Amino acid sequence: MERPEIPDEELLLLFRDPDTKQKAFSLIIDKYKERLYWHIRRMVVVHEDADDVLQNVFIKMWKGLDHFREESKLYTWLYRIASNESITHLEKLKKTKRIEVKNDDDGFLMETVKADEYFDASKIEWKLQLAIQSLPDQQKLVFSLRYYDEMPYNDMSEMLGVSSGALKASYHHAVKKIHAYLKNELNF
Amino acid sequence: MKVENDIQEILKQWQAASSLPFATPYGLPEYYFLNFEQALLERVEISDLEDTIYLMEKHHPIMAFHAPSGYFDTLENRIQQKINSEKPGKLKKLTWYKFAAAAAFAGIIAFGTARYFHQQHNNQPAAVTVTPVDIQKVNSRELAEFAEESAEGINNVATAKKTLDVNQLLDEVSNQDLQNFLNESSAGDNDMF
Repeated sequence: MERPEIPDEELLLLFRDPDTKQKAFSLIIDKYKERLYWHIRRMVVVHEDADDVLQNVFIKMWKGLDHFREESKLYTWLYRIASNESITHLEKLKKTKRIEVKNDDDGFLMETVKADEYFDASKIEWKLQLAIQSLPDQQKLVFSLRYYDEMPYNDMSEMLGVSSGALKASYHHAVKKIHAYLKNELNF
Repeated sequence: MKVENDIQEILKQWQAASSLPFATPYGLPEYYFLNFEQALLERVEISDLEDTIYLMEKHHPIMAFHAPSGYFDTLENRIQQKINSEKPGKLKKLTWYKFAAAAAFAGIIAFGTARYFHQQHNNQPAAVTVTPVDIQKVNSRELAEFAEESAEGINNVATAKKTLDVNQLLDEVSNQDLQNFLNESSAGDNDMF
């Protein structure tokens, strides 16, 4: 049976009470595990990597939530950790790949998408994933937050420390690139 | 055809009778017609983009990726286990590193201070604020705490706000594209999408 969703403010209060801290931790994991997983998975592609990053996010939350000053919302704070961890993971991966295969750090994520066991080149959802992976990491992040998570620009701005205008421009150009990619692939 | 000719004839007569100019009084933005085609094409492109997004959302909202079956059911336990197993192990590990870091730190400070003290002694025998004796007063525990605080600081980096680099955010976007976007957004909605 699904647990009812508790507002973030209430979860924070529960977390700060030593008697209910553990319960609050469970509730926060339950509330955010899926959306954070998919956000991370779209960034890092491979399930095992996404799992690793997601666990780190919750462990960091466990360690850092006591110091959370509520200058931002809990959900944007969690997305910030997830985004930072994902970008850091990708940077590490690219460094390794750069050593292994010189001059091939841009295309390897597209290749990773193609290596997914469910990959089907004829399906548009996979073409879309390939198009997304062709974007620079930070544009990919903005596109994913806006398109899939429907995060308002104001929240994104607070989370990423970038003006809403720059985020809108970034999203706009990400969509343009995706459109060009899909147009080429689908001939529409 | 005849009716149209008649109307044109009547209009010409009116114009001649009243000396009205043919030009309309309305103003026109500079280079409006020159840039019209380009502006129109951009609008078409934006409309195409919106159609693309609409199609993607309407017909293909499903995610391409899959999570292994039962993954989310066991996630919490695995995180909890990791946190529980991390505590003693990490403490042991940290203790070793802490004291190694503390010893190295004390060594560097003592060496640096002794060297500084030696140089000062040779050149000008002025008062030195930190001496090896002072360093000895700092016990291992304090140094270990310093090392632990530094380690915690490093751990907190991921939870801190990481400002995106606007240059990377707009990577591969030409100045012309950016200008077009700014023109479009200032002329239109606040929120294009």
